[in-house]
Amino acid sequence: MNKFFNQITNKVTVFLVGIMVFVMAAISTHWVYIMVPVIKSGEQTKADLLVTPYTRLIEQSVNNDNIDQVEEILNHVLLLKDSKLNQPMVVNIKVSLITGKVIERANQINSRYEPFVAETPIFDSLTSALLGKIHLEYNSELYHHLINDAEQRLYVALIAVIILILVVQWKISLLLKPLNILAHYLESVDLNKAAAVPHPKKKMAMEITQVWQAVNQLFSRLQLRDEQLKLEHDAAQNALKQKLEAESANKAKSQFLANMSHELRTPLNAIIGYSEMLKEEVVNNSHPNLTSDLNKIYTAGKNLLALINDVLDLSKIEAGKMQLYLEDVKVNLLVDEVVSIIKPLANKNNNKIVLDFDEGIGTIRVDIMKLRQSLLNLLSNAVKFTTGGKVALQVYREFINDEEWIRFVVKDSGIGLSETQVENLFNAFSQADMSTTRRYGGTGLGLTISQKFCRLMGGEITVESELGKGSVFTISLPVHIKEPMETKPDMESGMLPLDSTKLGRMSKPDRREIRRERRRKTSTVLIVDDDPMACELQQRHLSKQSYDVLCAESGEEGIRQINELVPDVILLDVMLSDMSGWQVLTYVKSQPHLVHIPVVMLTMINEKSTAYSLGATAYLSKPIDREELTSTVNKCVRKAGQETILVIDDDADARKLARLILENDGYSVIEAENGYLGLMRVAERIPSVILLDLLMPNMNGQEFLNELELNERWQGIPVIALTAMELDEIERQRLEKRVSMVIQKGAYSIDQVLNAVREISGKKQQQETQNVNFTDDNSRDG
Amino acid sequence: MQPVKKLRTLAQCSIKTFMAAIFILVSMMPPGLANEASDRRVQISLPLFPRIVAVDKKFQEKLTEDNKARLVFVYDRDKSKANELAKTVGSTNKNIVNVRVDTVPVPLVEQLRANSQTPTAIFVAEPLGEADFKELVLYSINKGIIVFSPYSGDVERGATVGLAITSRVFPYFNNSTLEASGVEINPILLDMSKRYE
Repeated sequence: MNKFFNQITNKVTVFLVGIMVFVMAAISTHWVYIMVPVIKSGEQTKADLLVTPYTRLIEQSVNNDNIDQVEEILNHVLLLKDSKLNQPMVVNIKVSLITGKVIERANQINSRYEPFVAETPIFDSLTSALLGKIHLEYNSELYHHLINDAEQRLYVALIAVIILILVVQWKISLLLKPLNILAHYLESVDLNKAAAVPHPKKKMAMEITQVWQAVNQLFSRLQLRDEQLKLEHDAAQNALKQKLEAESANKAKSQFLANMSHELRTPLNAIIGYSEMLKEEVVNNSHPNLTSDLNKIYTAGKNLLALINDVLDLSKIEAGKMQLYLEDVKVNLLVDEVVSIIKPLANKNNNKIVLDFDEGIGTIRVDIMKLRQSLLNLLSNAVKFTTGGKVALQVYREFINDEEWIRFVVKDSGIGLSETQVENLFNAFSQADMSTTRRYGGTGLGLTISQKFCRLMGGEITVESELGKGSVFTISLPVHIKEPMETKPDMESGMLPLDSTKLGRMSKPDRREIRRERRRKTSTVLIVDDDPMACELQQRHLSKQSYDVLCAESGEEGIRQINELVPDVILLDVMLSDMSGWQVLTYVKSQPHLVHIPVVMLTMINEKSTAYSLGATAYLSKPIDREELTSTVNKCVRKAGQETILVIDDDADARKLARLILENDGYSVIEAENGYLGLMRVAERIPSVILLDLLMPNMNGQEFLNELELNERWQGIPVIALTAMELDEIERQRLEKRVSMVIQKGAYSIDQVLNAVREISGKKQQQETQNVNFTDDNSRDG
Repeated sequence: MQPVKKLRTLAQCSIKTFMAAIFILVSMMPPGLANEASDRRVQISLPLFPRIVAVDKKFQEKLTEDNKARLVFVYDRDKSKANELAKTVGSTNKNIVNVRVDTVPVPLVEQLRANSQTPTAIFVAEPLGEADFKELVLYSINKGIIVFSPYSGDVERGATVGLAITSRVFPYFNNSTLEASGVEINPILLDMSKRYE
């Protein structure tokens, strides 16, 4: 049905038929209900009008009793004819008198139709008495003639319209025929061999001709496009082939770099490790003449390691595999740290370091390792190429196009650079000139890597320099760079996630180290490495750090010892002789009784992502830096044996400060905003100590203490109360019944809090140990 | 606000002007247009009225004591017109079916009185109000006499007989009134007349 109506011919036909039906219905209705009654009424009127004048004549004749005259009048009436049809107007006329006499005259007409009748009474003109009536039958042939005539015209009109519709339909189909031919051609045409559409023999309408031409143009364009596509396809095939070749070459290069780094780092590991050990031995055995030689070996090893690391970094950047690990970094602390590292080098060349930045400059969200490396690179270059001069570091914030940026400007009064040198400055392996390389050393990769790091973080390094007068290098970074991926701890250096607020404190040995040492005193470290030399080096180093260190020289041996010893930390080489380190790691993380052991992966190749995905705690690249190793193992041990402190305070800043202090001292911290939430935290995990603010909404400190007392398991948890209120004697006494210590808020120092926590947690541990001993003694006694 | 007020004032003025124009036109229209039609109907009715009275089958029973046919021309205000109509009919119809005719103009109020003389038939000489006409129809029904009204619409209001004018002039009978009043008309005439059911 739809198909039928979709054809133009049928659409037009249906439209015309519709119009025709509507018009015919309207005409028929008009005819039946208006015209026919009007004509009929007209004919009846004629009959009435005809009878009226003769009535008076007949009435007079009857009054005079002149019947002959009546008959004469009737004959006269019968003679009247219609001018159109030339037929008698009156069929019959009859005068019926009340006396019973009837005078009638009729025309002999064979009419099929009923006549129109007109009747009128006859009165006596003197007495008004009713004398009779006149009955006249008017010929209806004319009426029917008119009706038939009109109906015939209507039929003719109808037939004419039907013929018109058929003609229109035929004409439209004739006009559209070329389109049908075109459609059939397009359906059957082979597009690969499509040529111009054959022109029909008959002349086409202009619009159809336009369609015809458009289709021919389309074919031409299709042919052109096919040719173009073929060319593009060939080009794409070539590009794909080249890409595959390039990828293959790149893969080969990456594999080569990985192998080379492994092969280079293995001997370097021994060189750096042993030279460092020998240095200590030489100092202890008073052979100062050898110290200088050993330093050269150590330094050369370190430099070579730096070069390998740079090459690997560059390789990763170029392969697009360098990842960002973003965190909020306090800029002032980062600058302090970087300057403290660079200061000895500056002093060596009698350079003065000038700092220009606001201590409250705030934070920046960056990959701290990469920013630190870039800053160190610029500053080390500045102090290296300046002698007896000034190196300035300026840091400031500024808005560019509504975006906040931080600029690190390193300005020196050194040898400076020519324009040509500036142009090639950021090209890999390119230094100012060969003489520079010979005189100042370096690989020429540092600036390239720094620039790529900065670009990776959405920023840039720019340089302005004048030969002989000095250089100005500027690192510009957006304060909030977009997250490239989920932020993960950067374990490149083997460090756990570094809280920037702790920068600057890391290298300061203090009483906290002593405490950490006490905690790790009995910790066991298992090294699984098939390289006996590497094993021995790490064993000797960690033993000096008071760890109980054991070695396993194969994967199988390692698994056996892990099961027997359940060590506190595992140092696991990836490339073992009998199995891969990943297999050992997978095994450890699949065993419920071993899963908690921190595993530090030691590897030549960069497979950090694999390590973390399999559950490694940390990741160190060989050759192992001893400081990194110590730091990593310390952190792992601390993490494994951490004490938990619950800080309950409605002041978020106060909670944060407490967290920083305590975490820096090796504690694990959990927080709660009020007493109610504090109870929930205690229910989740019983803390070693609770730091409790007394004045809080929802549930204050005193209410919290009351709730704590109700639970037997919680009664022994030490609580340190912090309050800003001036407590009276009664309140103090009430608190002292439950809390271990009350510290006046606002007046306490970091050390005061730390000492309190250490003292209270220490007491608790001591008490627990005594309880165990007491139980043991009792059991022996028993 | 000001322009709106002005527009409104203009509109009000226009309406007032239009209404005034209509009033003037209506008042200037010849009052005789309607009256002329009525007058013609009355003129046509005058010869027909005695003929209708003559076809009343009980005509003889409705004569006066002195054996006259009393044809009353009732009026409300226009006595002269009633008088004129009565004279016309009286002069052209001295008798009906050999019965002497007495045509008299009578005020409606007087005719409707209980003690008034019952006529043979009544001719409505001027258009009557609804209440008066209704009372007259009831009177004719009670008395069993014909009320002839030449005015358009009066047969529908209850007059016994009037005029139906198409291409011819027909007597126009009210069947209900005929039935109620017991007036019997000669069926020959009744067949040729128009009837209001």
